[in-house]
Amino acid sequence: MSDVITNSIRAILREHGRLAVDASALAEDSNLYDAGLTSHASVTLMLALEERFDIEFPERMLRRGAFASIAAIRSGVGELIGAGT
Amino acid sequence: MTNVGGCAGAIAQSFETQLSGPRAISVGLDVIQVGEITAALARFGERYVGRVYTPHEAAYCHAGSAAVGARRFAARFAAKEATVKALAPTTRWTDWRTIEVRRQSSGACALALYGEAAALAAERGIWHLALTMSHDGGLAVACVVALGGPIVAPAHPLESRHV
Repeated sequence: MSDVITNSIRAILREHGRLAVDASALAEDSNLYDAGLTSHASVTLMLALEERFDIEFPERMLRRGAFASIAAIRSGVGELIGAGT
Repeated sequence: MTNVGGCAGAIAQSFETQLSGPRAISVGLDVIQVGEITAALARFGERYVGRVYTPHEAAYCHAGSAAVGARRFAARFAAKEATVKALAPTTRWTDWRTIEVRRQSSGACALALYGEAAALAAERGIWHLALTMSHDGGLAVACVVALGGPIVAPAHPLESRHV
């Protein structure tokens, strides 16, 4: 399940992240802001994640760190998916 | 560059207030490609608008053509990001909707802060934010100058030269 989520996150990053590097090649703990993730791209990234996983990021999770790495995103998505079941 | 409807913030308080002692100033600047906003609007529509812009901002941006609207949204996003940079939060993001570009009847624009953004500004002693926005050539830019409270003289003598 975790791999499925991670692969989806990488695919969404490729489409919406506007990164300077290939999201497929990023380590899970690589800093996405260092890889070129902008504030606006993080908004569309969040919207795409919500759409893909049928979740909504609550205000309390809107920290810069929440989208700082693939691992951080997976943790947040996992928490929200878990909360919805 | 073309000014967005003549939008420029004005210093609301008197120079006398500013000259009563050294004041902290911080600046935020942001530039964004209008195409990014066009793509977000096409892909996510009102879900995107509702998560980033206030009803006041959305109403103004939607009042023109789609192309004009994208430029207006872009300038406003740049203004929000420039404000965040001027406020310099440490860990949290502020909700984008707590930073609002208010267009006044004169056509001039000013910033209004709510909730967490307002609390952050108060914490920083910021009493005025001046805004200017512009767009041209597929880019929108915004600059925000934040005027803060009295500067406390630093302990280090070298630093005091720069106050």
